[in-house]
Amino acid sequence: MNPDQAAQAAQLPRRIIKETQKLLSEPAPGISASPSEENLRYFNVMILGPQQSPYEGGVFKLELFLPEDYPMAPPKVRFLTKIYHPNIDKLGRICLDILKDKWSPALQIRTVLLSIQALLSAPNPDDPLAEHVAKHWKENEKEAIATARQWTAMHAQG
Amino acid sequence: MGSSQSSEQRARRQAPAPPVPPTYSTQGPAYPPPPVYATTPGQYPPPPPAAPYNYGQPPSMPGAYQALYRPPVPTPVPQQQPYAPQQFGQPPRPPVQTQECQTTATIRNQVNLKKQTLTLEATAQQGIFNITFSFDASAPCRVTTFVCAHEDVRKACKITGPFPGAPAVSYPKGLNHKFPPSSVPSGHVVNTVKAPARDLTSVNNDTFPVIIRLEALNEDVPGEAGRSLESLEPGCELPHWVQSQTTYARLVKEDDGSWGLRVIKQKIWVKGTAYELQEIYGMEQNKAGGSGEGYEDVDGNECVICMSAPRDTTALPCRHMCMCHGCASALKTQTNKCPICRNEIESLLHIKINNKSPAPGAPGQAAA
Repeated sequence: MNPDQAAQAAQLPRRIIKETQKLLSEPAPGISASPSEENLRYFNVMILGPQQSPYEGGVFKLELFLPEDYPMAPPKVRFLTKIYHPNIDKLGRICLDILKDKWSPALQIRTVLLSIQALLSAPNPDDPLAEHVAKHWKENEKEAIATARQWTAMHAQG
Repeated sequence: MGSSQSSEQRARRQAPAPPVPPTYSTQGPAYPPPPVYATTPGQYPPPPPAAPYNYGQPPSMPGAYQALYRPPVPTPVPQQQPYAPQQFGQPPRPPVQTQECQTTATIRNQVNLKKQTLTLEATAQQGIFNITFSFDASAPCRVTTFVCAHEDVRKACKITGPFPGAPAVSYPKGLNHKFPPSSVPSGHVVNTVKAPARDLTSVNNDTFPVIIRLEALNEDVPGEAGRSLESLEPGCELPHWVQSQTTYARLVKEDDGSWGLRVIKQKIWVKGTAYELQEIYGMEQNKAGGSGEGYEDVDGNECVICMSAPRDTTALPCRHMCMCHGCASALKTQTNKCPICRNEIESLLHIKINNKSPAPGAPGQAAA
């Protein structure tokens, strides 16, 4: 840690330091998250596509930012890797209740990322963010899953 | 982490309950669903403002068992905003109301039956079982038991039953008393041959399978001369100068075919008012939480929000003790939802706990 980072860390709430340490020392399976060197509130995240999902074999990059009022406010999370999913739009924004009105300060970075990983296993076209993807999913699920697989092969190879 | 991942997955779209920190509970789920608050509301003559809060083992006062209650305050009526404007793209802010954070007043409970110790013990006679348990008493006290007995809450918790009660057993002040006393056959038994099985396993119209009452004199009530526990009939109407704890239990068939006893509820009687004892979720680590100084060591005991300070504030009515005082104050300016269960917080209860001398090896009562 260089002096600049040390100064940054000194201003960071204890909770964020603890969460960061825990994420680095005991990462959740299929998930990695490490803070950026310039900003310890900004995390580079990688989530492996869950087995038996159309995202299997893919490595998905995300960014996660802890706003000033975290944990009273939820972290801001976005996919950086293109993904074909009814609850994730083309800008990578995620439709997930715990990132919005169902946020609770008892949730953590780790639990948020686990929830996102779970969202990949269980797309929910009834609560869509990407309308046309959701439509595709509902009208022809098999084909939509095939497309998701293609996208995974095309865009999510690390 | 594997199992927590799969539970996350199951609960994903339906607002999963915030996950339990792995260190939060050592036995059973730390966050049971919000409890039913009063089984039969309004049954106590002067409606108590709230049920008192069960402390489990008081760490610092040998012999004393404390219960906490909320001082009587009018419950704030939630301000509904029926036509609150909603903006697209923004999650609607929950209506924020300020909850007062109350500090606790304490009732010093002189007698406490340890719920986990309550069992039935076979006797030489087939179908007859001794009621056994251990308890603490910070004052001389006596024990009475009743089988298939009715309690009348309108008559100062008078207990009447079909079976003649065994004589009350007196005890001096002391910790970890065993009941029955080993020296004499107590006669405090459950006769599964005589009593109908239905009455032994379920509660019907305030008739409870097993009732155990511990009584002590309440020294705070200014004296009438000559009063004594001995002058009271077992199960009689409780006078103001008696402080008692009553435990209600029913029989259950265990997996191995034997009979066990399960506590239904506990109540205390203080100065003419009955309070039902309620448990606080997330408290047992607090007692086992070690030194209480140096936040490094309180793993499992930290506030879920700052993850640093020890938890000392309980959300009511859901009774999740999950926050420190500071974070609870900050939270109430932002939301009125409990961080653990998302139920509305009506008030916050700040509980001061002396962590310096936790009762060693004492079973936690807070999350049974």
